[in-house]
Amino acid sequence: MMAAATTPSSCCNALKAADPTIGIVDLSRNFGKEIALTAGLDYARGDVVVVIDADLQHPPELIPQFITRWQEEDAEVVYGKRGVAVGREPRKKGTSRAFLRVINSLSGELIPVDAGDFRILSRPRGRRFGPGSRATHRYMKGLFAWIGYRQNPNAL
Amino acid sequence: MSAAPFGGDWFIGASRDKPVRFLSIVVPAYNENDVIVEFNRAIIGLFGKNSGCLAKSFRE
Repeated sequence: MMAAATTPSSCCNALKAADPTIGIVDLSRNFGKEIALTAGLDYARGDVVVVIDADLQHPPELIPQFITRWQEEDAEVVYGKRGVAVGREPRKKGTSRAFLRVINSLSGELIPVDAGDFRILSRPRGRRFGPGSRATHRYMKGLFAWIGYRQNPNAL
Repeated sequence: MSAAPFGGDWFIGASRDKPVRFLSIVVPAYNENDVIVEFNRAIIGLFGKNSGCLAKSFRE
């Protein structure tokens, strides 16, 4: 299991000490969920990678079913699509759909509606999120601040 | 296929074309200790502790 944590956590370290299959990617600050996922995908070593939220809103018991479908079907990615019964509040669902509609109208309808982050994908596909896919246009002064850590001034 | 549906052997060799020897689970988390502990408990309940079907730590 790979936990992409964004704060030093004695809890995560304790879990890792108890179970050597757990790896922790400990980021210097909270970079947000997307960056945490990217870091986790960078370090994942499995033949397939499961992306799932920790709060159990996605049922882990579906993972074997996802894997079976991934193996038996001609698919590199199997993702969870929310059914009618497993809904969020209508307003949030509406804004999410509206957002995706705008994004898809600009990008050519690439993002499936009613799909969350819960999915499995081949590790080589996960590698597509790796260093080669990083942004190339950078503002270094901004990035130096962006990376976090403690930074002290020194008079010249 | 192993009789244990969630055991490591279930994955190994389950498909000749797409073997799953190791499975990685990526879980983003931020200040969610209780949630992480509960999630870990659920995963262990499914797959078993150190079952061998989970990904090796990247540090090892």
